[in-house]
Amino acid sequence: MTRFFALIAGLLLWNGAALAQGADACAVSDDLVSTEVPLPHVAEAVSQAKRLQIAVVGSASSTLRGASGVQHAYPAQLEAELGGRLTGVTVKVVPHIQQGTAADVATTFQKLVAAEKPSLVIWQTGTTDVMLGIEPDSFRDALDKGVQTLQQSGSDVILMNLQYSPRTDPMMHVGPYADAMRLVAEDHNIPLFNRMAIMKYWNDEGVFDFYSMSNDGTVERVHHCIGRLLADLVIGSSKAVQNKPTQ
Amino acid sequence: MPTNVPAGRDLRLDLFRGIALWLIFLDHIPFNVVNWVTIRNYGFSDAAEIFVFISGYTAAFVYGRAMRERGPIAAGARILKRGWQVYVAHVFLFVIYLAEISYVGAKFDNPLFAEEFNLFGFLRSPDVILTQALILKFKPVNMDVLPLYIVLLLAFPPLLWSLLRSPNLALLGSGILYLVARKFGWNLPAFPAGKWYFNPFAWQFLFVFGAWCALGGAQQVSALIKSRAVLVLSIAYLLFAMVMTLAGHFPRMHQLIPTFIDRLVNPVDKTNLDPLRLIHFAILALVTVRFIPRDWPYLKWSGFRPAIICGEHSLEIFCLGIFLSFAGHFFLVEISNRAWAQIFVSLVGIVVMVAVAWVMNWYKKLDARGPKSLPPQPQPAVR
Repeated sequence: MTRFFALIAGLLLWNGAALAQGADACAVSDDLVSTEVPLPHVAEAVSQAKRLQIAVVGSASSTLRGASGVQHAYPAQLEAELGGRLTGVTVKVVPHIQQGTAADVATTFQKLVAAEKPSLVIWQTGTTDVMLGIEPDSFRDALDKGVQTLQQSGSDVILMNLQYSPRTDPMMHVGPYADAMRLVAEDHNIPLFNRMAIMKYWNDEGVFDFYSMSNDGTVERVHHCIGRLLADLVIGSSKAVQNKPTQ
Repeated sequence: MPTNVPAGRDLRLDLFRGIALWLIFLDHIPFNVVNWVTIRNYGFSDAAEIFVFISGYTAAFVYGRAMRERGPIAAGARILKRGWQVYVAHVFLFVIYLAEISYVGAKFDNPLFAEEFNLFGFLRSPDVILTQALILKFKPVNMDVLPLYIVLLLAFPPLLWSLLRSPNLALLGSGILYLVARKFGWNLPAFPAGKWYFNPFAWQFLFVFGAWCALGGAQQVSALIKSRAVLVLSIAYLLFAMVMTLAGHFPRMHQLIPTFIDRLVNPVDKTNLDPLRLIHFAILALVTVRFIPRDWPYLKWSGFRPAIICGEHSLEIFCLGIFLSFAGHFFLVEISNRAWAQIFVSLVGIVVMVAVAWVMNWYKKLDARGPKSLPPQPQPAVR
C-alpha cells in the first residue's frame, strides 16, 4: 500500500513539473510524444529532396464537418506547422478520409502509395473496428499487413490511435485495440501517436472539456494542438536518424 | 446466491464475492480515481475471475447437495430456474442501459466526436437491437458477465452430474475444452460483429474449477497450499504480475521492461482467459486460503459484515452495481468529473449496495419467521 501511495505521489509531482514547464496550451508531458523511433524517409525528404509529401489516412475523426472543416482539421494544421518550421522545404499533407475497418482501409494502400509516393503515411485507425466489435486479433493482423505494405513501398509510417471520448468510451472495449496498435508499432519500429493518452492528459489537466455535449469552440483548438504535436513528433523523429547515423 | 443457506457456510466466499462486487462496480465507472484501489491494476486477473470462480464454487456447493439428495432432474430444474432469473435480471439491466443511452444519444452533438456518435446509431433500429439483445448476441459493454453466467448455468446440470461422479475427470474435460477453444478460436458470435467478450468456452474452466474445489478438490491440493516453496514461487509470480501490469499504466516504467519479456506477456487476453490471468487468480486464491483459514476469527468481525452481506445476495447486488455504475458515470458526466465527485460517487455506490443487501437480509428474516407471527388463518368454509 505504501508503494502505491509513493507511486501516486510521484506521479502527481511529475505532472506538476510538466505543467510548470510552459504555459503552452498544447503541451503534454514528454513521455506522451516520444521521438526515439526514427523516420528515415522523412529525414531524407527534408534534408535532400527539400520536399515532404505526407498522406493522412483516417476516419471521420481526421476531419471536421462544415464548409471550413478541412481547413481546421489536424492534417491541414500539421501542414501549416511543418511548413512554418521546416524552412526551405515544401510540405504537402493530403488527407484521405475513408470509412471502414483497418482491413478495408489497408487494401487501398498500394494504390495510394503508387499515386502519391509519400515519404510518410499517418494512419489513424481503430475507431471503426472498436465500434463494430472486430476481433482484436484480426484488427492486429490487418494493422500488421497494412504497415508492412506501406513500409515495403518505401514510406515511413506513424500509427495514430483512437480519440479519448469520455462520453462514449464506456460503450466500447477500447483497451485491446489500443494494445494492438502499440504492439504493432513496436513490432515494425514505427512511432505511435498516442492520441488517446494525449487527449486524456488534456482532460485531466483541465485544458479541454471533452464532456461537452456540443461544440463550445474547443474543437478547432483541439485539432490545432493535435497538428502541432504531430509536427513535434515528425520533426523530432526525423532528427532521431540524423543524431544516430550508426544505428 | 443460494436460498437455503447451511449453517456451516464458508464466510470467506461471501466476503470475497462481496468485495469482488464492489470492485466490479468501481471498475465499471470509467475514469475514476478510486479505480486505483482495484486489483486489476496490480496483477493480471481482476474481480471478474473472483466472481466467476466463487459462483462456480457456490453453485456446486448448493446444487451438488440438492443433486445428491433429490436427484439430477430436480437439481437440474432448480439450476435452470436460476438461469432464468439471471436472464430476466440481464434484460432488466438492458432496459435501464437503453434508457440512459437514449437520453445521452438524443442530446450529444459535439463535432469532435462525430464518429464516436455513430455508436448511438443502433437506437435507430430497435427492431434489430432488441431482438439481438434478447438472444444475447448484442451485449453492451459492462453487461457481458451475466450472459456468460447464463450460459454457464444452462450447461451446469450435466456438468454437475459428471463432477459428482468423477470430479477429476470432469475437471480434465473442462481443461481440454479450454485449451481447444483457445487453440481453434471457438467462441459464440456477437452482434454487430465479433465474438463474446467473455468467451464461455474459455471461462467455463474457471467456473468448473470453482465447482471442483467445492466438491472436495480443495482438499486434494492442500499439500500445495501448505508448501513453503509454492508460497515463495507464488509471491514471486504475484510481484512479477504487479510490475508488468503497473508498467502498462506508466510509459516510463514500461521502457524499463526488456522487450522479450514484454512480448512474452502482452497483450494479456481477457476474452479467452489468458493462462497468465488464470494462473494469477489461482495463485491469489491459494495464498488467500493459506493465510485466511475457514475458521479465521476475524471473519466474524463486524467490519467485514458489509462485504459479507453483499456477497450473500450476489445476483441482486451485482445488477445493482451495474446500474449504479451507469448512474455514477451519468453523475460524473452531467454534474462534475473532478476527483471529489469520483470519490463521492464511489462511496455512495458502495453504501447503497450495502444498504440494499441489508434490507434484503431483513426481508429474508421477515419471510423466515413470517407465518408463525401472523395471526392464524381463518379456515375455509367449504372443503
